[in-house]
Amino acid sequence: MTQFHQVVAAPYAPPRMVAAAVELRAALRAVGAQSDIAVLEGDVEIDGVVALDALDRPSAAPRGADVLVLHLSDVTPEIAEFALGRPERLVVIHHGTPVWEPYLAFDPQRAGRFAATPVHVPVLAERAAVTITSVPRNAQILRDAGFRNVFSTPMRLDLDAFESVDAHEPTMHHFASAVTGPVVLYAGPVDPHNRLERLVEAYHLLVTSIDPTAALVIAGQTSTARYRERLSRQINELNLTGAWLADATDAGQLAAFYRSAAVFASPGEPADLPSSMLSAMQLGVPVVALGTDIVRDAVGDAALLLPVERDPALLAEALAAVLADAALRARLIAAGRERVAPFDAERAATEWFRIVLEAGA
Amino acid sequence: MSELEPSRTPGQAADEPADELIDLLRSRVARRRAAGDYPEGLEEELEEHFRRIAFHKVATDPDGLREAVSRVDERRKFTAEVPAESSVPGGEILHRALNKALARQGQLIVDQLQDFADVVHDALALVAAAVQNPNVHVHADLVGRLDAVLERLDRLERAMRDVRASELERRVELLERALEHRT
Repeated sequence: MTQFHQVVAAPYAPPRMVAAAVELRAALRAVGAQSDIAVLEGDVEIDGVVALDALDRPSAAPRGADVLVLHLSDVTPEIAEFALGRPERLVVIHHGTPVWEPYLAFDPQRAGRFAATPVHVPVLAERAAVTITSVPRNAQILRDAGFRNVFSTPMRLDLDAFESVDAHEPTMHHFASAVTGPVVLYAGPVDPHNRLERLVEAYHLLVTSIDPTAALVIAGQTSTARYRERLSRQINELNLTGAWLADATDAGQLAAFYRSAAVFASPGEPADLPSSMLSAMQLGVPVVALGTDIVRDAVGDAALLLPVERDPALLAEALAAVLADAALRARLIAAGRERVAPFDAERAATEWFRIVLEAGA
Repeated sequence: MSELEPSRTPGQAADEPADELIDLLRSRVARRRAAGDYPEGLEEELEEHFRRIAFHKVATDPDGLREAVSRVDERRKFTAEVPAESSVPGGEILHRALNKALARQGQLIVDQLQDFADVVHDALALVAAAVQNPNVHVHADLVGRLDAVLERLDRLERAMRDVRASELERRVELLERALEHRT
């Protein structure tokens, strides 16, 4: 019987990558397939993870008899060498490579990995029987690099999750009692490609020149501790007492942030499907974002999209407009809800599972 | 329909109202600049501020360095003597004989190691002293913070110079109105 194992080949695997691998393993095991997850490099925490050599069959199976699903964000010579040496049929799940320049000051090694990825990607293209990405833009990049059978289908996102979670009571109380103005929210990875220093700059302009009562919440986990520390220092040195840099690993606290937010702001360049923007839309929070290709594909004209350039004054003005103009707010909220309405989490999960299963047929 | 509400007509490209909106926002930014809300060069200063924070190197740890030098000091005594004790019958005699036979070569190596360790120790002690002496090094983190304070002071001075008293009153009124509106 065909075995379907997975390897997470990203030392800083984002939580969504791990969740996707765990969910796929559960689905494969549910149909009786032997399916395990191993980690190629780094200290990635996954329940039930096995060692790489545990994926090898005790007796040699014919080449291509089994399926290996490789989750990755970037491609290094080591990843390419690993993929080329495996006997299984290869399914690549590409979670998007972040732009490398913003990482240079905080994690030069990772900047190097991201910058060199376009050089190493074509090597994988020869081995990948099937490739899955969440966004059309990444699918096009992979096709251009020589990948065949590229599917662009969204990952499973539970957009209803924050509606069913009880909001963290102390956080809600804080917003009700200590925050008098509107809350600008960013939720998501606190990593350099999300350019949160630009949101801090825009917030500085917003509170010093437009609305001194506005509050800012930046909530999320980081894989670049140095970046988060520098962001905190930027907030302190600009004396932004209304800004809150929160770890937000707790779903209840995230729910409290979303429910208290007047506008969601994303000044960065997401490498994959911007799930937190879609969550904001689901919860009726208007979105202002940088209009990169990936963001445009994901949210269409349901968000106020800004030109892809560094312009904190324009971002501050856009936030002020959404906060002050009731008609604009209403239009963005309605368009956001309409945008996410057709999103079917179960169908998305089934689609990835179906593609992987067919790769083994 | 609000000033910012897009006026899309059937068949019009989706980006056109968005472009109108961006143009309108840009014009508001220009108005704020002209009114002195955003002093000239403010955004460049903000960018430079974060760039300096981003590239700031982690400060050295003088206490840690002093402890490391002490550990080097504790371990810089070498000997060519191999302990003669042995659990093997006759081993003690054999070890003494080996010690005697290899004493000259062993001592030569130990002498060289000792010389090297002394030089390294002295060099490290000088480095540790230099790091602790504020006259021969720079506290980059303090310089960075001082720069940030000076930038803000500079911005305030320019704002004071550029903004006339009446303009200042207008802006205070605007802020007060915004606060009243919120409360």
